[in-house]
Amino acid sequence: MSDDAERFYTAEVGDETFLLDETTSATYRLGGEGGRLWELLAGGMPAAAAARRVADETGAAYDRVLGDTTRFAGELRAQGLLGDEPEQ
Amino acid sequence: MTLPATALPAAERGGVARTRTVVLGRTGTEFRFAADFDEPLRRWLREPDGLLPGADVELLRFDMRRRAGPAPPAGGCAHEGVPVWLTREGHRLRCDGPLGTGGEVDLATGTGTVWAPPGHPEACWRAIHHCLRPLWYAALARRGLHPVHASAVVGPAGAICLAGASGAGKSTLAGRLAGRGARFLSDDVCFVDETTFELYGLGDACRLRPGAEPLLPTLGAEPNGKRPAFVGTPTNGPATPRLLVLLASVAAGSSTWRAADPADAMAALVVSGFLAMDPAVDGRRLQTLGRLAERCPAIFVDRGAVPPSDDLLGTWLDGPTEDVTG
Repeated sequence: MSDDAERFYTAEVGDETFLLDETTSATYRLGGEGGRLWELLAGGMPAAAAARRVADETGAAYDRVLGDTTRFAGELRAQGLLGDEPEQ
Repeated sequence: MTLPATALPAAERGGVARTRTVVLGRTGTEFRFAADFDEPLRRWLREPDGLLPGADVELLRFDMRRRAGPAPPAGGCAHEGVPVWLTREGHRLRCDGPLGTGGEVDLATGTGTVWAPPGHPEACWRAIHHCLRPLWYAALARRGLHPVHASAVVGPAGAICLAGASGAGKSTLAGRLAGRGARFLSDDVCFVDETTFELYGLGDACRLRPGAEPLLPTLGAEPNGKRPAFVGTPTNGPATPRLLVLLASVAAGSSTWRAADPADAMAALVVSGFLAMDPAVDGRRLQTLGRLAERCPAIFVDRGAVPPSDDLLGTWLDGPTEDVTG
């Protein structure tokens, strides 16, 4: 989770999640399992563990979820929304 | 001979004297300090008396000072082409605008100061438009009334909320609807009650950009070039939102309008202008707009499709009809 507890806010609308970065006023729209993955990754869970959790919850194939999760985490880091991958 | 200080215009009394205390409340608003200095500006400040009827609660108390403020911080953001700086430090929210205008409010106590330097005829107007209002919106949000960048009109069936970025045509379409009998709720910013999701507004004038279709008689241009037009009897609400109209800034696609699902509507509300102002309430504001998008039907309207949509929207104002978003 961010060091600043007031940095990020989320709202679920329909099947999607909106993420507000308070420091930049930028808002991001997370579709599919993006909201759930954000919750897990921002909570400090490694990508592999987050993928396993989502695969278990949705019944999707783990390998496919892991690939999506890795890409998603990379996009979040590129935007400065997520810190480095925690130690396993 | 020395004149008593009170006989001098405030701007000549050293420029630092307290000039007027402005109280922004639910049942009445004093918004007239600029008339002390700039009589021609009075007509632009015919708002917003009687804001937000309800409990007689004082929302904010500002001291208005006719003096230059401290230098603005680096960075900032542009608001309608004008550089405005909005900065925070704890509960203190500060806004710095053009011409040396500025303001600061303590969100915890609801008190603040707005300053406008002497010597420029537009300074008071700029101070109100660019500094006082953002601070005011933040303070209202602390009280559960969250701003959304939208015009709104009210008919027998409820309110139509017209959201879009600056220049998308909010005022133009709202003016059209007011011209066919709807009551004006707000020109640029509406407030959504976080518990009831009803809409409140400033009950102000319709402000049209230069070149906009002159549907209504106007009073002459404001310093930002917009021309205010008072039409009918405006209202402050509350009004139940009946339809969200999401205006595109540019003409797109060939359809005149199309239904928007809640997530699309939320995205449009965010894009129209969600400026994070106050960490204490921005999360609640995001949630409130999300619930509004889920509860209220919404349609996209392309900019070039405003005229045919006028009739469509009129049916929504006048009473129950079939769900056009179906």
